[in-house]
Amino acid sequence: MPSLSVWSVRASLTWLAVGALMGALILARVPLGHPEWGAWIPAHAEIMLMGWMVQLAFGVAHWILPRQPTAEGRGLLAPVVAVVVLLNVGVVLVVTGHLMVGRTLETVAALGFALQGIPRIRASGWGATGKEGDLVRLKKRVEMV
Amino acid sequence: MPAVTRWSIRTGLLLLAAAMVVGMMQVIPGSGGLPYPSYLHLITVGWLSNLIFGVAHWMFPRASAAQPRGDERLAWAGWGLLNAGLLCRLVGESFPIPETLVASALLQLLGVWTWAAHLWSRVKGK
Repeated sequence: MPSLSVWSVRASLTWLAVGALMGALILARVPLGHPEWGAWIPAHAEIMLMGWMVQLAFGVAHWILPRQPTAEGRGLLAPVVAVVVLLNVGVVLVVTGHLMVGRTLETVAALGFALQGIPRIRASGWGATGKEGDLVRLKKRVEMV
Repeated sequence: MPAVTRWSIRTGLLLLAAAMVVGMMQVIPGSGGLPYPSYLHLITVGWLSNLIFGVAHWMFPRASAAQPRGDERLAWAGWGLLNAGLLCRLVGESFPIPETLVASALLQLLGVWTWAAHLWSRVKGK
């Protein structure tokens, strides 16, 4: 797993831990005598959707999508680092009430991720192209197994 | 595919089916059913989280040569706690019992933290 994916997935796990704590407090708010904690629901949803699930998908996709046949197999590092930083700053800003700036940063992060990821969405690996030579190699591999 | 992954994905599929039933009951007049938060968490916790944790346990880099998938007891504990917590939530929101919601909150929190701690050691380079 490349280091950027390591940081991205660890950040997503950290958001998961924070979001789960928030969710537990929201669920138990009435028995615990704090109904006002219900106001945290939008922040809980933002953390779980953007901080946890979307970021996990970014990190794993950066790791696992087919690499390009160039020196920078996973693309240039700086734009991908920027995507992860912008996403996390965006989540912090949305959760702290700065919705416009936060959502803007999240949108830029999502666009940046899509732009750098699209060239890597291509046929790759045994049998992936469906062309004759590739299928022959796939058949040999299956026979070996 | 390790056993805990198989059970996580099976549980996830079962809860996804349950979510679809609950979702249908919400739009069919007079059919009762669970409140919207139950439906939402059946999908996000019951389906998505079980699927993510199960596949991550299967596919993430190996923890070590001796224990490739880390301490599997943590994974089983995370699976059990998370799903027990979700079931408590469904009961607590169907029949408003405050203690059940507190138990659900605690079980789900421990389940998520256990899974996160288990997977943390597997998030690394080669």
